Parts: sequence; C-alpha cells; structure tokens
Amino acid sequence: MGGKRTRDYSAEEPSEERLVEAARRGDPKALEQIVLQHQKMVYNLALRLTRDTDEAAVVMQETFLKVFAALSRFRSRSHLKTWIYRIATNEALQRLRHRGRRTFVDLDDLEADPERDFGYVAQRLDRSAHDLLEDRELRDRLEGAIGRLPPKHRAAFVLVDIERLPLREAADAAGISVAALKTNLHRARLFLRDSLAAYMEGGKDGG
Amino acid sequence: MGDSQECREVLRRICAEAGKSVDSAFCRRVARHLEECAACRAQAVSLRGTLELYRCLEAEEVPEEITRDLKKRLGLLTPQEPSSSS
Repeated sequence: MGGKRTRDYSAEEPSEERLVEAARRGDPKALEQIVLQHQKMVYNLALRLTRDTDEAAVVMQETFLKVFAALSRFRSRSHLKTWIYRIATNEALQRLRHRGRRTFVDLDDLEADPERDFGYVAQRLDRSAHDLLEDRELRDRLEGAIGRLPPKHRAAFVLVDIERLPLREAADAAGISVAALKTNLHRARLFLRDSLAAYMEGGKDGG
Repeated sequence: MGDSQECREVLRRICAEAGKSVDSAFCRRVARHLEECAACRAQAVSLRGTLELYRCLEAEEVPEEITRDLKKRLGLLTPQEPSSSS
C-alpha cells in the first residue's frame, strides 16, 4: 500500500465517513486506525464465542481481511462497528460450528428449574458484582458456563448481554430474526443463571 | 415490587425487551405481579444479578503479538515494527 497519501489519524478523531473514505482509497493510516479502534471489540467477541485465544486471533485476522476487502460495499448508513460485528460474529460462529466433537448443553426445552431456590440466589447476588467477582472459582464458573452454551445461544447472549447491542443489531449480526434471537437469549440466560445458582447453593450438578 | 433502584431496573429491562414503555398497561401489570409474587420476583432479580456479573467480567486487552500478526497479515506493519516471527 506504499505510495498512498496518508494523514495522521491518531492525532485527531475524523468522522467515521471520512475514515472509511480514506480507507477505501487504501490509506494505510486510515486502515490502521480502523484496526486500532475495533480490534479489542473483535478480539473479545471472538474470544467469548470461540473460547480459544488462538482461534480468536484467527477470527480477528479473517474479520479485518474481509472488512477491508468489502469496504467498497459498506453503506455508511449503518455504523462501521455494527458491520464489523456482523462479519466477526459470522466468522466465529462458522469456526465454532465446524469444530466438531464438542458437546453443548441442549437448551431447546429448557425452563427455569422449579426446585431451585432463586430467593436465596437473589439474596446472594445482593452485593456488588465487583466484590462477588473477587472469587476466582466463581469467575471460572461463569466463563465455563458460557463455554457450554450451543453456538446460537452463546451468540445471542454475548451480543446482547455482554456487547450490549440492541436486539435488532444483534439479530442482524447473528443472521437470525429478532424473535429467534429473543428465544435463544432467554434460554441462554436461564441456563447461565441456573448454573450460577447451582454453584451458589453449593451443588456441583450444574456443570 | 419494591421501590428500590434494583426493582425499577428489573422492571425497566423486562419492559424494554418487550418493546413497551414503563408506563404502559403491560408494564403496570408486570409491576403489580412482581409486587405480589415472591417467586417471580426472585426469578427476575436473580436473572438480573447474573447478567450484571457477566457484564463486570473485564474485557481482555489484545496481546501485542496478536496485533503485530494482524497488522503483518494486513500489510500494515511499519518498518520500525518487527514482526513477532522475526
């Protein structure tokens, strides 16, 4: 990409439109700025979806390669971030589905467990999240539970509850309808809450 | 349903996800039910608490070598930046 006109985008905050326009022309500073602005988001999304640092790195590479290759087709009506989310999610889910020999929990018939004492759990959760997360075992439990979610449920949870995308954008990124996303999200939340409840009740039956 | 910040937040979330405003008839019915039903209240509060925990898990920084490999693959490494394999 040598010989292209460049400007120092690190010293200022250009509008997204100007940045994309410069990146389309192959300006390496603009391309680098897009990487720097979005790599952490892409890496963490990929890490949460694949649960594997090597795969997350590959997903990140493939995502930016596809983003740059398709920049000319990007419509500035949608946010660059949302568009990158969509490409990264698709890339991570493809890898997750092709991994094979993985066992995920079956959530299709999941309902809240009537035997669980959610009053007790609610009471235990009545402390600051940061205090609770000082418990290393609890953090491992939370991370491990995400790893047991099937890909479609995991994507719904990560996109909406961790990345905080609006439902419409999350459904777009996951390539499903809003109604399907809501169903997947609900089941993912119940499973994660029940897994936490099992841990808090001192049982080890939740995974 | 109590009047605490947490109860208001639980109700706000339920209504937002149903696409209703907090002063809609739907949300008033939900609020009334949560007021009277301890089991549903515990369900809602424990779900919200679980999500709060997940949201507080810190995002990881991208390791430097991964950024370097990415920039190398994209042809964005400057001459001053050694690639991780060199």
